[in-house]
Amino acid sequence: MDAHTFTVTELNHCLPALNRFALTLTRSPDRASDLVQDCVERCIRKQHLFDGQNLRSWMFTVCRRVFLNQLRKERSRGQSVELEDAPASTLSIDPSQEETMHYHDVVQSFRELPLNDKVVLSLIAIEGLKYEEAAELLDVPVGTVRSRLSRARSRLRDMLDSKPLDGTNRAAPVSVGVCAPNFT
Amino acid sequence: MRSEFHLITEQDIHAYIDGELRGVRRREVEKFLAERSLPLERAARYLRNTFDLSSMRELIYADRALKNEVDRLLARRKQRFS
Repeated sequence: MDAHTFTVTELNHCLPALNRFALTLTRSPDRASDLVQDCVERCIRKQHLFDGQNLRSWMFTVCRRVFLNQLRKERSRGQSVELEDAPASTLSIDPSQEETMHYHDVVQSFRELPLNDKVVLSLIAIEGLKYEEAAELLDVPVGTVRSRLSRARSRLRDMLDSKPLDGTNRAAPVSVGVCAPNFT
Repeated sequence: MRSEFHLITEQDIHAYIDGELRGVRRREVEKFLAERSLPLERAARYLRNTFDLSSMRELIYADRALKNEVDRLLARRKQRFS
């Protein structure tokens, strides 16, 4: 493959994985389809920025950026309101009923975490601190921030997996592997 | 051709999500994720949850003990920069 170019065949080869990635991000087949469409269009328009190394990796990066931009725009158009009292149309991220349930689950699960987990997640995910800044404020090494963050996110994920949907037992969550220290 | 093996840890995935990686390491993690469906799916979920928490900021901070602790820590940062 020449640097800065790719073929339609190569692009199509990446689409199944890109679809799965988009579905995980959006949790909606329709939104995932739209996201993949936006992503492919952007990749074609911006192919001069592709470094010729790994097309799939580059497409995931583009997809991630497009998704975050979409959510930021939706959030900036919305209002901050209590979920329980809000008509669906006023929520900041285009919520279907399932989407609203998801946010309830996230908030509820987060509340059940140990305080240390909540603090580190708040500093990084909500306040947007760098790891080094968080480590300085917490008076711990950066490695401790990394391990606490990893543990906190794993716990939150496990709690979300265990939440029933709409008061009924949800199908067993897709297992994405044992929570081992390393992926490799 | 020499094949290099770089260990990618779960903490690397979090660092990638949080924008902590640059240059070669970032590209290594991207390549790792691009080639493996399950870690990629997990990374996408963490990314989504991170954005969810940020979106639900006010509800999260309805927990006064948490809000007080975060405010106390952030006040320390302001003191250091002032």
